[in-house]
Amino acid sequence: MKRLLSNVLLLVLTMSLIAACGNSNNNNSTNGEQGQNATNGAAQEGNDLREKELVKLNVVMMSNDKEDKDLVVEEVNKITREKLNVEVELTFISYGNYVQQTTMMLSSGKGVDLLPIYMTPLATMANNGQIIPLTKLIDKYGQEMVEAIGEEYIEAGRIGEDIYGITTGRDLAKAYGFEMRKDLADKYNIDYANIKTLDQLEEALMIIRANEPDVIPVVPSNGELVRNWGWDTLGDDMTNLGVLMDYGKELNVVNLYETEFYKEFITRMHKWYNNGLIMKDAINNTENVGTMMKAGSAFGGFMNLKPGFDVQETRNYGTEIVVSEIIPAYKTTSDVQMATWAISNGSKHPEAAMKLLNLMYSDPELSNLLINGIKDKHYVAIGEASNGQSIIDYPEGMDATTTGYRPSGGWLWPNQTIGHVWAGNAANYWEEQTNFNNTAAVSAAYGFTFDSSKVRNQMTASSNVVAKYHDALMTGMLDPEKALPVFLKELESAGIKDIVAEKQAQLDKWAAAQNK
Amino acid sequence: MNAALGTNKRKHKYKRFVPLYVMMVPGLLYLLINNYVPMAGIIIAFKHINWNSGILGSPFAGLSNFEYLFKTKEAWVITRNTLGYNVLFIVLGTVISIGVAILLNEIRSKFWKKSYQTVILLPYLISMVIVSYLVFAMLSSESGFVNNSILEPLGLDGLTWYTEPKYWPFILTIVHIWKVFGYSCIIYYATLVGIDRGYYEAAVIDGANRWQQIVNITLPALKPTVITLVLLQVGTIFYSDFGLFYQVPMDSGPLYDVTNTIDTYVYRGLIKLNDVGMSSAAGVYQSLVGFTLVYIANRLVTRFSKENALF
Amino acid sequence: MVENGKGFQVFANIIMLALTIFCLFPFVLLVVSSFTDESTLIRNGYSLFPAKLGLDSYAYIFKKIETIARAYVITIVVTVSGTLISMMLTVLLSYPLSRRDLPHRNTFAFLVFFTMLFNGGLVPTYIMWTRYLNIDNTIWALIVPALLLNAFYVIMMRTYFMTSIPEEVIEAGRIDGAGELRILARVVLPMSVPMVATLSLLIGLGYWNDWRNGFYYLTDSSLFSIQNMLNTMLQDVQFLASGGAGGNAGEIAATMPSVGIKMAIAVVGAVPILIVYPFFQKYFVKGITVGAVKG
Repeated sequence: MKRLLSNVLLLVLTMSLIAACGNSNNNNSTNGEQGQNATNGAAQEGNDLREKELVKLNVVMMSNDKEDKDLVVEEVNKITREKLNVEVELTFISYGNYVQQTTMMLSSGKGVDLLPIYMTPLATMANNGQIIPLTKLIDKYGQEMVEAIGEEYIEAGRIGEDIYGITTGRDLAKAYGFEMRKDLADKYNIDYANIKTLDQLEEALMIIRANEPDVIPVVPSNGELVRNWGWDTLGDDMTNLGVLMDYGKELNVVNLYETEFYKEFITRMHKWYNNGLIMKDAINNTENVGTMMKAGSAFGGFMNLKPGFDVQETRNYGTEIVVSEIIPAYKTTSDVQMATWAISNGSKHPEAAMKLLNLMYSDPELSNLLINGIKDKHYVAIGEASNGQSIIDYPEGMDATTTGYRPSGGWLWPNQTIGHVWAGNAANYWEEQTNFNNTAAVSAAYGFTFDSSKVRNQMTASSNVVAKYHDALMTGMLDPEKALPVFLKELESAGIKDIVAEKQAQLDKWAAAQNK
Repeated sequence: MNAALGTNKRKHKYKRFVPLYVMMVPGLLYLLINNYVPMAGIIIAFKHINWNSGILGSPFAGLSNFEYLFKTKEAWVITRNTLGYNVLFIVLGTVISIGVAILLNEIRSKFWKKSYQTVILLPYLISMVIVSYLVFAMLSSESGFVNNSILEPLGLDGLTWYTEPKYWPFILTIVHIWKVFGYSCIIYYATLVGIDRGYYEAAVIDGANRWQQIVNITLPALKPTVITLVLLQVGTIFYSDFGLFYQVPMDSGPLYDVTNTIDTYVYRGLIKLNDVGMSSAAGVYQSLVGFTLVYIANRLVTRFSKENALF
Repeated sequence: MVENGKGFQVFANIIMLALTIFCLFPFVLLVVSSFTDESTLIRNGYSLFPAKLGLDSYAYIFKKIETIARAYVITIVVTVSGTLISMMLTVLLSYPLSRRDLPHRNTFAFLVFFTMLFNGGLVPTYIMWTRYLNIDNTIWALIVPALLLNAFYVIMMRTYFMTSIPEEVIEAGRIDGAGELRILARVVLPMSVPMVATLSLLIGLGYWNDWRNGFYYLTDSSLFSIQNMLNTMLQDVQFLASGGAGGNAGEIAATMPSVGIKMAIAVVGAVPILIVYPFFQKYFVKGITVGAVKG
């Protein structure tokens, strides 16, 4: 016993020493940063945007690595050095590693100044203090950016008092529907353009089922059959804990899984599953629907849609793809906050970072470099786009797999809409997209962000319950008559009521403040 | 006078060991940097972390970060699964690895000995995600090997394996054993080849048969290794192999009752919340239970054979 | 070995053969699928006798030969140097702990063992290595964190020293006037070859199989090991499978390597061990003879 005691004592002593040492380090570094900010600010009087001394900024982006990255960065730096006296260091992190690596980078405050927040909710990043409030910086250095993206969409990045993330220029509303192979649709005279309901879709799928035994009519796109089928998740994409139904027409938070709408949907899917319309191993399919369409084993799958989606998919898979829109476009806070650019809490040069961000959003030359690479090396101009830029294509003999800098994920870069349009799309592609964003239905809770900190325990428990049943029900693998009651019971004991109530309370408070 | 003599003697006693202590310095230094300094981070489990104010500056959360681990009906299921599988894995894994090590040691043909040894290590070299693909290749409803090549020729209906929880305790156990037995038998095998041959020769002279040799010589020689390995595994009994329980069942919801462990539960619960305090609380809880169990187990070992205790 | 019945030999061989098939079958499936035509693989699933074979996967690997060769070199450099340093640290730490006469040895043993049970979690460790020791995006990131000294191996080594090295041998060394380091190097280590070989193998396998260090500490893919390459591909698929990219999945999926390529890389990653391991095994045997002579 005595030995254990002395061991423990020794341990506690070492650890407290370490803790103390960690503490002072921490304080020093934060003080240092603040001090620097203050001096930077003082030096920035006047209209000259150039930094006094050359500043290096780490920009992180989600992408698999590109061979010609350094060449592009060199070109980028020519612009940024001249305009801002800033040099950019670009880090690409692959998709599957992105969340984990950026979370750690943001926690340690090292290696990143600017980055897109994606997959991790903006609100938790802001509440954890991993990213900094931007409102003041935007007022000072971000005006061109605001103009380029639109005041309305900038506002959607507001968490509490401040704006924390700037949404990227992309499709900010979502329509939902079904994508399918054109060859088969034509073969059986499926009038895809006029399929507007699940009933009509079902008819079409039955034809495929009856005539094409080797083709699976519906393959779940990436593990889940559909997401957000016309409801506003209020920040909980995939788990749907407390939603607004009917495209968010009213500020009435409900438990999605209790609604008649949900029950109807999953009952239909179960019927589809039993009729062989849905892939048997639906929940554990790791193969992408597009890859399967290309291989000839799938007819189609549910997708969220945007203008030009069919063209994009056709280009991706090299097999012609068409779409049927079933749920018309609508717009929620989550859609806008899904991908936003933010400044790391560890950034030593937040002002320079904002200036750079502003430039990335508003300077077509810089944006084109980052998104499309170097002209005549990674792309060639083949026509005029309606925004004054070019229509571009790969140079002779190059394609998506051989380019040294392929523009995948242009939507995650700050603002692709000021840049070139890829061949195959309409010349007014970006205008169409802006139009789509601006004309979509708007959820009544648009602009509201939920703070989950009061219901953390209920959230973890409910997320687990949803993971257990939701996907299996949506893909029709489980019988709703048996599984749904159990699901609801477990969900209730996990505390979904508290979440719904908390969401409603915050929403009411938010609505009251809006009407003031 | 006496006291002075005492310290002198003690000094002398320590002086002899200085070289030994010096030898330990690099290793201990590494543990200090890699393990002990970051251990201060355990404090995160008791904080509402805001990176803006740093780890120490963040407000205290008391035990609230731990609540979610207990305030759920699943608490029982995940604890049962984690403990149950681990106990099963420890017992089965140990028995099978020792068995295989003994067999390997007995085989005379050098060529076969080497071949067996190499091949049974193969599964250990394959990443768990790839393993999950292979399991899927076996069990897929549409094109799976088991459905198409075993059940159907026997006139049986194919199963949708990924929605049938009752088979998964067996599947997971088989996959786990398959993956690790070649690896863990290496350690036992190394101990076996170290046994002095003279013991066996003497036993043969005494007329002992093969079985008696194994029971009376081989197993006692393995005892210290077995005790050490089991004690170490007890220490991580509240942890689970994420790849095995998440990737291999392909995160299939209908299987959760038999595949959900503390690690997968925490993972699923925190994907969206991204709460470092809560995830670190889970780690502290797992470590604390493991530590308590090892401590008790080690006390028991001390009582029966002091030689083999860990500390 | 000692006299051994023929019946027993047959029995032992049959069991081991069964186990071998049990281990080999999935691996063969893996190899065959890496040689299967891509769309056949997607349409018909994995099979030992695919309808159509294809070399697409290996053609891809060949096209990326530069990247893959570099990853190989990194894996080998990291495995060899990591194992050497790690073995040195392990022996130096475990030998004193095995000495029954060393004062406070249990306290130290406890300190070592304790690191297996408690850890500060990923984030503090990450902060330690990156912010204070600047190890990120260097080759050291693959060697040093987590893997360089494992308490488990220290304890194994210590147990071996305590049970297999008679105290009299060490005492004899001291009477001859040898220092501690000399006793360790000249007397104790030669008697411990099987264990040193075993632990080197385990440590080496740990380095070879490791993808976590690269995953945590590297963003520069030119430093990726084979396992990091494979893991990144697999993580990307997981990311798509979890619905991460939504409507943009297609765009990302189009740039990703296919299933067959992942299988091919898994094969490429495992094969070298299969080649090296049999050569390694002779040290297990050598150990006995040395031990027998001295003991």
